[in-house]
Amino acid sequence: MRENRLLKIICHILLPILIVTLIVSIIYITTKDSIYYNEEKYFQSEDFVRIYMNEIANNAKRLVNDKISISESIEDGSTTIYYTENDTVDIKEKYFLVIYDNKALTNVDLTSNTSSIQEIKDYIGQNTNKKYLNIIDGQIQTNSEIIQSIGLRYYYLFEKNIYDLTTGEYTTTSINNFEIYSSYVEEFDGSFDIVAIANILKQLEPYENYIYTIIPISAVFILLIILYLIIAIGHKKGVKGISLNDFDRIPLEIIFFMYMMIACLPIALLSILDFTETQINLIISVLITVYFVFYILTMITLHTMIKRIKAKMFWKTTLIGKLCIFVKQEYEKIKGNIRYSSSLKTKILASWIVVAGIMIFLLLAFRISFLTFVLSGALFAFMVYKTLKIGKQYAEIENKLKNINNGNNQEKLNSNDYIPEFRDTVNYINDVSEGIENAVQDRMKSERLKAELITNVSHDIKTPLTSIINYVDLLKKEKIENEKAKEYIEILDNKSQRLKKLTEDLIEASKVSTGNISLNLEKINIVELINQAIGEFADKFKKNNLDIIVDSKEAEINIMADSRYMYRVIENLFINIAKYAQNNSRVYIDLKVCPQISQKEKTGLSPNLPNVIIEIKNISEDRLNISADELMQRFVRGDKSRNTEGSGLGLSIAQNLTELQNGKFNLKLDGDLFKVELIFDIV
Amino acid sequence: MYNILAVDDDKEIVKAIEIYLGKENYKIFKAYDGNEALKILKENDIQLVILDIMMPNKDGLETLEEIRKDKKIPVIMLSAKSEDIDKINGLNCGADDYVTKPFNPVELIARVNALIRRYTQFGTIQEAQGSGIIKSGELIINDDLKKVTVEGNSVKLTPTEYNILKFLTKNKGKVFSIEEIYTNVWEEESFAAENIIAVHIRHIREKIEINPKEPKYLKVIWGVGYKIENFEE
Repeated sequence: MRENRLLKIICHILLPILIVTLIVSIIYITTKDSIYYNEEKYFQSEDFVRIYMNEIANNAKRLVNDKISISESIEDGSTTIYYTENDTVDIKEKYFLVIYDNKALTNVDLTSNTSSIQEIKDYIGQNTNKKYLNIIDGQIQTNSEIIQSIGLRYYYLFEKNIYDLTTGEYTTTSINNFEIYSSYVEEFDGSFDIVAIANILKQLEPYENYIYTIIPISAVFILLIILYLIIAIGHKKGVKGISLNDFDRIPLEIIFFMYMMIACLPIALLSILDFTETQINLIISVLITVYFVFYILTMITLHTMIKRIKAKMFWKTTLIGKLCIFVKQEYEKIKGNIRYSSSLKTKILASWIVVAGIMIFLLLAFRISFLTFVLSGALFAFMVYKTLKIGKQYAEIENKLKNINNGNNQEKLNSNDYIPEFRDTVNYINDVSEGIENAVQDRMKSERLKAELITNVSHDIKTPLTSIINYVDLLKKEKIENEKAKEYIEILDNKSQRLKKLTEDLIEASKVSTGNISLNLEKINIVELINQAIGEFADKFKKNNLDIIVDSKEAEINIMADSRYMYRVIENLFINIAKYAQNNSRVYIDLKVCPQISQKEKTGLSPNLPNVIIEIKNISEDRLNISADELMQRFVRGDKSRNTEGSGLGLSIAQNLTELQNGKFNLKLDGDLFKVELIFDIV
Repeated sequence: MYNILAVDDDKEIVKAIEIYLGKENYKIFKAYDGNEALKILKENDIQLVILDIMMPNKDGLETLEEIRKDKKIPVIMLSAKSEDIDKINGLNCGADDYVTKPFNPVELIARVNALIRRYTQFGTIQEAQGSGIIKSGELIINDDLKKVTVEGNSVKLTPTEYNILKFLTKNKGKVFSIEEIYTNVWEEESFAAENIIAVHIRHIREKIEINPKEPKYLKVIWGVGYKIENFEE
């Protein structure tokens, strides 16, 4: 899904507006007909009558029970008039006066104008816009039709047995014992929940017709936008898949916690503010602020949640999820370790069950106390320690096996260090390790013996060979007339020299192939070495008219090698070229620096270092009717060159020396093209 | 006329040595094991010993130790053992040189000559000091006369070879890469000179060394460069 930034921004702006429109519309429609938000209907409703009567009855009861927190009181003849504050403010200019025996209770302010019963009565009934309700001797006098018709039903509220705490007597009251005067204006007074909403709704009245169309339209748009946002969330331009940022990695629980913390602020604000009718603009602005804070918080939370779900990271980014994954992993680890021995597994499980049992027992016996805590804590710690130790020992055994596998077979495990269940295993491993060690030793010994044998035999050959060479040489210097004899001596000379070379090569080949030489690896410049080698061979190459073309982009390519043996490798290859290359041809030596070579080629080389490939190519004089592998075998040479000097060990020595110096030696034959590739790590 | 003792259990080899060195006007004493050799050494005035290692009764190294107890005459080890470790052992035991079998007669003669010259003319080398003299061991370059002598033999070099050798000897012990040699001797940046210098060096080696494959003075440090061995330290 491609990102469309503009569309996203429009969506984010429209969505809150549409939601608020929808909410307000729905509230309007659902509350329009509710009596609590409609003054006209409210004052004509039975609910109003019930609430009104109930309130007067409550005040009457307070008066009877003397349960008045006395703030002010005055005497009018024998009657005491108590003043109480208006405790409900739902209705405008709501006053009452209840008279019982020689007591009276009113919420009319006591001023000079209202200092006697008569004056209060007058004050209550003063305004002609008012509705009034007077109950005298059980008779209702009112100008409200609804009270007139159903007010009688609520007389029972006044007729109760009231227990007097001070006298300890029951007082039976009756509506006939009261004289009640009250009045009110049929308008709401500034209480927030009802009046404020009622006022807002009142303002919406002119748009009522639109609202019915707004609801479905905004609902559809909201759905579409949410759908679009859900699809678009997490996709970034030019980035495939879902991209999570740092916020998306914060554990979800922390985000929820922060959400609640921040959400508390507007709620606190709402409860602090005292809303009255006159503050309608403030109410609306506060509501809008609160709404947006909630909206933004909710959107951020939902946004990151959807993103996490889409990235399949929801579970992993919760603390509970992380804990579960951790527990699961640990469990797998322990399980993996336990898998080793099924009897051990049973033992561990049984031990844990016993421990759990003991803990439950402790809990039952001592309840949640310090002792329970300490004992079960210690027990638990001990079990964890034991379990971890088993895991550690298993890991050690595994590590030992890994070492054996890697040919690192030095230390033995001491079986006494292990738990009894592991001891047999440790002993077996030690035996196997020893067996392998012995086998390796034997093999190395036999290899060494072989190399020694070759060396010794070669030494024994060398002594008589010395005489042969020397006496052939002396013979050559004698004056011999016979041409045939001269020819024979020449052959003897050649063959004895070849025998000499052969024995020397044989010793070297046997040493090199068994790795029985000590290398002194140091940093050398392979370009310099090749130039030096070319200098050494310049005459030989010139004799055969070989044109050497060196191609290297770098003047210095350093590799780790033993300089003498590295020269031996190049020397052997050059000797080959001097011997077997087509006369009057060109020899190419390319040094290529390769930062990356194929995985296959890389085996045996360091995985991180760049490489140099030294490619030496020449055209063979004779047909190469032989495979590269065969050519590499000791004593094997291109068929026809059997008769020329040389031992046939040169390539094999070069290969072994290259490999001993951590290089790679590749030989490729392609028609008459003879190509050798040396690959080394550049340091 | 110098007396040389050749010791080898192979009689034919001793005989061959006698033939070769006899032609060079040396008198050869022959021995076929260590004990015999020590006996001859006691009874005769011997200037140089050629000693085989693998011999019956008393081997070459034991014999060498015996010789070194009271004699400072030069000893050349002659052995079929060609390992580095054998050479190092032999030289450490007090041998002056080490030649492997099968040996090149010409090389053996050259080495014998060099050692005899050194042994008999010991102490005269200092006289060669003077202005324009550059030297390392017995490689002496007289820059005034443009003459080079190695172990008493004068060597003929081309002007380029002479300059290279002079430069390296002046800075003996120090290793120079081909490029450094080029810039220092030609006093300009090298340009595809790599092989030329290497070829010159080989030629110099062939002229001043007894065995160019195992040079004593002009050493090749493969993959690094070349140097003249410093014998003064």
